[in-house]
Amino acid sequence: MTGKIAPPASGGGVDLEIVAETAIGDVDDLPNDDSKSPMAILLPLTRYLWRWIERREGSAISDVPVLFLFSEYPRNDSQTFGAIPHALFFADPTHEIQGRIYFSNSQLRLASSIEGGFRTIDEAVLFLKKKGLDTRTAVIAQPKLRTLLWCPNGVSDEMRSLEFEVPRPLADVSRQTVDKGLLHFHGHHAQVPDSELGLWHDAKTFVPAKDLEKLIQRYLRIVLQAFFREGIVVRELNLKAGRVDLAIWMKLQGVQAAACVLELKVLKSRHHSRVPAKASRCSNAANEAAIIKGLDQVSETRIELGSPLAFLCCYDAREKNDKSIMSCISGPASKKNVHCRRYYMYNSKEAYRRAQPGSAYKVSNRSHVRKK
Amino acid sequence: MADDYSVSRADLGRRVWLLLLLDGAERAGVAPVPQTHLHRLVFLANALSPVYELPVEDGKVLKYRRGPFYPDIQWDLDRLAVSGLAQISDIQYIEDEFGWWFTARYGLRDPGIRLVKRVVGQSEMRAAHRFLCELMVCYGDLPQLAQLEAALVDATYSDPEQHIDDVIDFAEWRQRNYSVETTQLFAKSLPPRFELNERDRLHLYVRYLGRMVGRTKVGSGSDG
Repeated sequence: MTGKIAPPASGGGVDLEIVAETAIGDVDDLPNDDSKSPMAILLPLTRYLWRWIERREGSAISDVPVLFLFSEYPRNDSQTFGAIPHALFFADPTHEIQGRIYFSNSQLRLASSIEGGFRTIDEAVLFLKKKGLDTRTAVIAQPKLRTLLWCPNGVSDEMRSLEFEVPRPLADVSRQTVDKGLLHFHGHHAQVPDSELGLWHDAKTFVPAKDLEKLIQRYLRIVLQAFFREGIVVRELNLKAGRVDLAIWMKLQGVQAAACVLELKVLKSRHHSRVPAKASRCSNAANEAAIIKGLDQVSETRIELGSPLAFLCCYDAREKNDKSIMSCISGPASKKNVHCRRYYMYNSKEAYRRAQPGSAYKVSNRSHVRKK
Repeated sequence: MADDYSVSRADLGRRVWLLLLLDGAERAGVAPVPQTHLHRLVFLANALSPVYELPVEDGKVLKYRRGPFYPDIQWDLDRLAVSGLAQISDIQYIEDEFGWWFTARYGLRDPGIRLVKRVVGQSEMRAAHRFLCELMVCYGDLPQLAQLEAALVDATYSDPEQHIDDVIDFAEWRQRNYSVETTQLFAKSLPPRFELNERDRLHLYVRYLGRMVGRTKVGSGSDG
């Protein structure tokens, strides 16, 4: 036996050196969700797909998609569908996955696969419908486009699917790389309403989803974790100074250290209400107070964790896209060395398009004004 | 006098708990589980359930020469198999240095799966199921040899003060549950304020057992 056999407190057989080695060596490889949660498949799949793509960089990857079906009982599925089992699938990026359907649990450790014979997503969906598998939680991966389409209620439920780009992993945590991750999340998932993410309760009337901040926190964590593959993104870390929404830990000279803390705030015109018409107004003063409080929180947690970077991210779900609200903290933020960001959430794709410079909609509107 | 075939509440509770464990094994893709592994998993599940703040199903185990073994659990497993809820396969009788022994593999049949789905509607069962599923996933992640021997290097089972044929009691002597105490040590090797939740501690502990097996020579029975 190696190491010192020492009791944890008053007895027992434990090797403290191996305890320490396990903690340091394995902490960045822990699952981000309970194994029973179908959502837990996203992160291992993102990591697997990126390794798969890396192995083929420089060679052509075809357009053919690959399907992963969440399997509650992998053994039963393997038997029912006559699928070929792949033990420790996760560890082997050499599989020829395109055109196949994989049944897997959320860790991708045990998978079994069948040939689908499809070339496109539509053909794949048709194949699943024929097999009666279209209501199973599925992920359609398109390696060439580096996208994952997550369908929690199956491929037949088009209204609830989330397209997710597999980001190129980043090796270091810097202001630029964190910004890149945040912009990716905003651009792909929050800038315009996404039916799957459900960030809006009623986008038309600017009523946000219940617990919008928590929802953003949950999804943003997955995106950042995919970006910072070598790091650990921790959610809701309790500190003396309060609770920090997200913290990125990286191994620096062999030791885990906080590299960045992120505080999330939601700015809104209306509070959540089950009945949108009854949603009460949220004043600008209340939004400003939230920003000021967020700045204090993130500054204190940054000091407590000794993190070199701190971000205050304000997700702006107000009716008016007005950046002046951030001016209330511009001075104190630079003094406290906190990077403040505001991400506007348009309530429709049309509103987003209208707001783009040179938008045809805008031009026609202007000409309409001129005519008047 | 007629035999008493009635089943006590405790027996029923234990059988349901066992079904939850087998369900976790099915979900993790480790079923059918060899009998020796299963008894060792029962031990680990008992020793580690306080990590999830769950009651210990059976906190006493005989430090048997073949590793942790629960006669009551074996009785229940056979009853579950006969009743069609559990699946039994690869039955073999072997003779080794300890004498004759019976081995088999256990999984869950469709009626068992359906029963589990109904049972987990109850909150306390759901909590136990969540823990057992997670334990099975951690266990399934270990290399094969480590799966077999993990329980033997467990901090409670390998306590040098406990000898073969001793009864290890970590239910009434809670301070003797060194497994749970060890799960609390991981955070000490990490930076201050780095929090580990119950799932993290469970995963790390099982990985610790895997590392221990890799470096430790342990003797054990095998029915791989």
